[in-house]
Amino acid sequence: MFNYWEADTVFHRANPIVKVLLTFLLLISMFFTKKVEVMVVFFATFIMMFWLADTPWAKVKGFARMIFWLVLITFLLNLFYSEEGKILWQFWKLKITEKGLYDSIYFSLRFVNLILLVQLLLGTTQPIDVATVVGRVFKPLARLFPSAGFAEMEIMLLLALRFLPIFQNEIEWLIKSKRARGIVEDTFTKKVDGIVGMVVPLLISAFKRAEELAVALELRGFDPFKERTSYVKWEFSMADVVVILFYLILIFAVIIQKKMIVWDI
Amino acid sequence: MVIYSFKNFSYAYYGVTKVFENLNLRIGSNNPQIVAFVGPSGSGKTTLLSVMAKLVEDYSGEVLFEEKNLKDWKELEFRKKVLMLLQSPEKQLFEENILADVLYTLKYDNLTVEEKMLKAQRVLELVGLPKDRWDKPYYRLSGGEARKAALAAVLVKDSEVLLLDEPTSGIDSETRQELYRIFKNLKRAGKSIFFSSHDVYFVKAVSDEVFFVDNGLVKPAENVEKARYWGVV
Ligand SMILES: Nc1ncnc2c1ncn2[C@@H]1O[C@H](COP(=O)(O)OP(=O)(O)OP(=O)(O)O)[C@@H](O)[C@H]1O
Ligand SMILES: [Mg+2]
Repeated sequence: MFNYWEADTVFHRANPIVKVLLTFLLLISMFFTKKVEVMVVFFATFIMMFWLADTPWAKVKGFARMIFWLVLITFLLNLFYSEEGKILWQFWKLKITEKGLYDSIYFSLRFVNLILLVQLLLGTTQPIDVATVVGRVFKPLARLFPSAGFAEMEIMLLLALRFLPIFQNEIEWLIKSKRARGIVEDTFTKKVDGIVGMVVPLLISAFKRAEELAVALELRGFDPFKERTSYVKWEFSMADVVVILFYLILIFAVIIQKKMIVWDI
Repeated sequence: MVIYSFKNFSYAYYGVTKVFENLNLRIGSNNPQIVAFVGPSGSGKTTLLSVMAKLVEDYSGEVLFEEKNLKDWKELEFRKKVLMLLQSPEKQLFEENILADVLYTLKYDNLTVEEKMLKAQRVLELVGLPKDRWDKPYYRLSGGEARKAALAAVLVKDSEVLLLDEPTSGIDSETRQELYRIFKNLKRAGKSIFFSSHDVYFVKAVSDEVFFVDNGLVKPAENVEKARYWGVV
């Protein structure tokens, strides 16, 4: 889930600042359109970008399945929501209208696109780079409001990004361990029991890790309030141009579609 | 009959990190056997054992176990026969203490509580864990103790085949001798053991057959000592 994968592609080489800012821009622009067509364009472009970014499909299979279920729920929740438009199907008080159908397709697609957008950033950018960029953006805020905790936010974000995949990995190992020991959870009750049984070991390992990390940070003299330096030189390159083009096309798609609506009126 | 046959077997992690390429090999025999895998770090011993344990399945080619495709084996059927000791004990253990952890393996077995308890105690004694450690969680044990506990959690179930990933690492010489006896006894009891190890003396003493794992290949070893000389182990 939101894993980084190693590869040598334009998306990996591009400047993290560019990627983070464009992701942010696109994220906002996505909320400025209510057109399914635009969402389809986004989706198709994202898939192409993932393909160009050498996505290890086997690795994201589980994540994709999880998203599928979430999308299905989003779809169903929106499907019966609207009262407007032509009624397509009705059963007692439950009805699907034209607008309801359109909206639910739109919301599902937007949901998928949001996740794809974030995954594209985190899949091709090291967590430390994402955190550093966000940290730099927050720096002026941290100066203005020293007590608001913006300085710690950078390290917190870094830790969260760093630990999410570890947490997921931990779950995979627990499942593997059970199977290795010949424990087969083949009925519903056994499955539920197995999931409940994983909570405590997960918490224990999380605390253990936090403890180790605290010691490690202390040993290296970490201070969240000190100016952070980075050994990576961030220069503007051809890769950035390519990435910028991709994102700009999408932002233009939103703008053009907006314009057309204005003309309609 | 415990035989694994690999046919055009290739494996790469996420299709990127190549570990094995086009392997054709038969491992095992009709009689109980102790088989060792040796090779440098990162050569693929753990990967190979995980495939044999049906924990990793996204390989290409075929792996047969007892003449039946591994992928066709029913989970329940297979897990009754084959158990695996994972390389790091902290990945294998998760209950609040060692005794509870060993009992966890027997969770869904048709035994009374007393029978389970008896089995667990016997196996903990077998691997040489003193009674005063039984109520400790794995993360409060030493590395060697945790490994013994993990081994106990696997041995407590009577399976025909044992896949043990580095049972010898981090243990003292006394335990190593104990492990030698355990291996021999298990074999006498009709079990087959496949294990990986960096301990060349142990491998030489206990194994019926040794395989080298290196450079994407698995080859029968004629001479373990020579391998050591060449720095393979
Ligand atoms: N989860 C993973 N993801 C990606 N690559 C992996 C993963 N696990 C192992 N590898 C790679 O596969 C190769 C074989 O690893 P494996 O763990 O099988 O080696 P090993 O022979 O057991 O080594 P050791 O003696 O250190 O235990 C290594 O190059 C390793 O980097
Ligand atoms: Mg290994």
